[in-house]
Amino acid sequence: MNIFRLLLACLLPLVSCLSFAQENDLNFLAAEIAATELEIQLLEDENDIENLQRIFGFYIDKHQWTQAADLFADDATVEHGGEGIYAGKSRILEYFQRMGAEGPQEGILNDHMQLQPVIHVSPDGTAKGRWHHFSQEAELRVSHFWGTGIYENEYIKDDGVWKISNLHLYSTMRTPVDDGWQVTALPRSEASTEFPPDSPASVDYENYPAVYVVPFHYDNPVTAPNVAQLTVSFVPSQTAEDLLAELDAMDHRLDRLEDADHIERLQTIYGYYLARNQWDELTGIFASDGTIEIAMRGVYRGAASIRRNLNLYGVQDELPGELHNHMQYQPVIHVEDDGQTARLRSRAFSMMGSFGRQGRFMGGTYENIYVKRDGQWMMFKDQQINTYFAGTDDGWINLTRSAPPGITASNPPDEPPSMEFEMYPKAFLPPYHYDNPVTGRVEVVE
Amino acid sequence: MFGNKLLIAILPVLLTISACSDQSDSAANSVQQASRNDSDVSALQSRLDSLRARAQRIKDGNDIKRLQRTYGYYLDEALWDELTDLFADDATVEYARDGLYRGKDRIREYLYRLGDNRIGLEEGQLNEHFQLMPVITLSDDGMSAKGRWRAVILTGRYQESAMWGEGPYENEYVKDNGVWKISKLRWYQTIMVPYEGGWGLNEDVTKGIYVSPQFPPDEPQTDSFGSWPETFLPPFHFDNPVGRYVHVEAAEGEG
Repeated sequence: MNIFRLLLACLLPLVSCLSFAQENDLNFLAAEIAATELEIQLLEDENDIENLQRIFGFYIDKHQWTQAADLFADDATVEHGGEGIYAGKSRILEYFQRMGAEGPQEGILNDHMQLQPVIHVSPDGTAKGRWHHFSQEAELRVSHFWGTGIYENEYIKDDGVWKISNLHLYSTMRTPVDDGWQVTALPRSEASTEFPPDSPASVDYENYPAVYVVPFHYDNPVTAPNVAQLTVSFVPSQTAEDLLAELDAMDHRLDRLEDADHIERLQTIYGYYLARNQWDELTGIFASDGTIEIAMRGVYRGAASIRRNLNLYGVQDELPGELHNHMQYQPVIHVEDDGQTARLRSRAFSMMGSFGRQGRFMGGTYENIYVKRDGQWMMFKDQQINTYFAGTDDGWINLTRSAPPGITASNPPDEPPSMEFEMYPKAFLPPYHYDNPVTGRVEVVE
Repeated sequence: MFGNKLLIAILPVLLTISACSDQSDSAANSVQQASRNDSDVSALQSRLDSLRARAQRIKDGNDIKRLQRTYGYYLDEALWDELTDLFADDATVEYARDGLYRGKDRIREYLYRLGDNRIGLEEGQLNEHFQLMPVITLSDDGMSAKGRWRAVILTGRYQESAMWGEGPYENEYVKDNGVWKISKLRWYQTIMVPYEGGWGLNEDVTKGIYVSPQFPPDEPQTDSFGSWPETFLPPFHFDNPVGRYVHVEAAEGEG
């Protein structure tokens, strides 16, 4: 009894000490978990912002002014070249609408590639992004242009949804395709007198051939790295069960982030294999029951058919004097919550042709589906909808052939094309796999 | 009476014992609970650590993309000092067929020479280098990485020249004190051809040689890469992520 009581006397402080330590450990852990959760949030924000800007690009391409304007915050601003600043969503919408009738238009090419994002998200729910802009604009039998520029944009998270708060496109170079930038360099655009801006241009600069470095929103990433200040204000005490549930949720969110990275990587690798006629490698990234459907050639189903389809684009691994680059860019990726299916809209800009004959550019849109089998992402559906094929020296001004290549009788598909489309100069809107990320508005394709 | 007194005398003891006994149970339980929770805490901690490591790897990939894209933006503007700062001290640079330059000082001088020894573009110069198609592969320890990219290029001088260019990179990166730097830059020039006539009607006008004749490299070109219309497949740093297709006939034959 005495021994027992002595033992007890010894144990009691230890027990209370252990309980205390345990509670302390949990509180400490809860704070660490909250900090990691914030890091995950910032990674998701970054992806959401990239999707947002790329979705904006797809809408602008097809004159979807209403959809595009809906991506802006109520008090957002837009500034293009020297046209001055338009402030507020309704002014932005009208500014866009004055560029042409709503929706894709016959005889109009308006591709505005959104490239090379450098995004910095701040934990306060704002973000900045630098992008490269590369445009192909044409009006049939009237004009056609190459253009480059830099975006320095701002974004804001409004009620959990990212919106564009400031879109500023600094033009760098613009030239008619017939001349090129050796011969002709057009000045930056000017403010409209019919629809004057709310404020004059914020920066005075000139296009190429003048030199102007668009200010960077960030410092040199090596000599002055941008470090987001993560502060976790108050973390209420939680039980081990609560914390476990939080960790489970974070695990799930990390899965989706990793999935999105895998999908972008796979689509890019697809582009590298395609560029070098690596048909066996390319076929290998498809699911065994996957499909490929390029340029309305019809649906080729299953690995053997996919491999057979690829013979249409050249001999495997042989490219003497052949250029077959298919630049993959502007991916908009959505992974299903179960992590087993993902959808991607992206684009290709191709530089192709054989030495000795005029080279060609090709523009197009992908709407692809990926599946995860045995923990491995693979391509399930690859569908490419061409926007144009144009000779390097001809451009788009006099393009009249709007029919895509279509079925090859000597190497026919397993099924007819799943969708009919025509290329520029006809108008076509490839259906989206997603709704407007701000309004949820679905585009009705007629 | 005596019994009552005895009971009263004993009661506190009994109560104590009973309390002690309660307490000892709960103490034993607490010890057990504490040790279980203790292992809970350490289990939670190690779970958190693994999640944090995964988040870090995603962030590392994003940081490397920001780094290479920033490289592109600096290159566009001929900001050679800013560009040189993106490299590790012992980094190497090898463009097209110009050979390999080792170390930051040599890289800086090489870049300056590419830009006619001036900072920034000259009036009339265009130097767009879009950085596209990243495939980033992080090492297991997360301290180094490899990346394949493709540049699409519009260069020229007003009233003198305009060129289309294109080519892939196979680069390497290191994490130095928490900051990602470029440790190896290898750019393969697929084409650099005049705007007029493009790649269909022109050979590569530079042959992939830029400043090496005046400023010899530390090592000659490290591979057999030629110039358009010759073609070359720059080796991939990664294997097929799913697996190369094997012809059914061939598979049967092997089986």
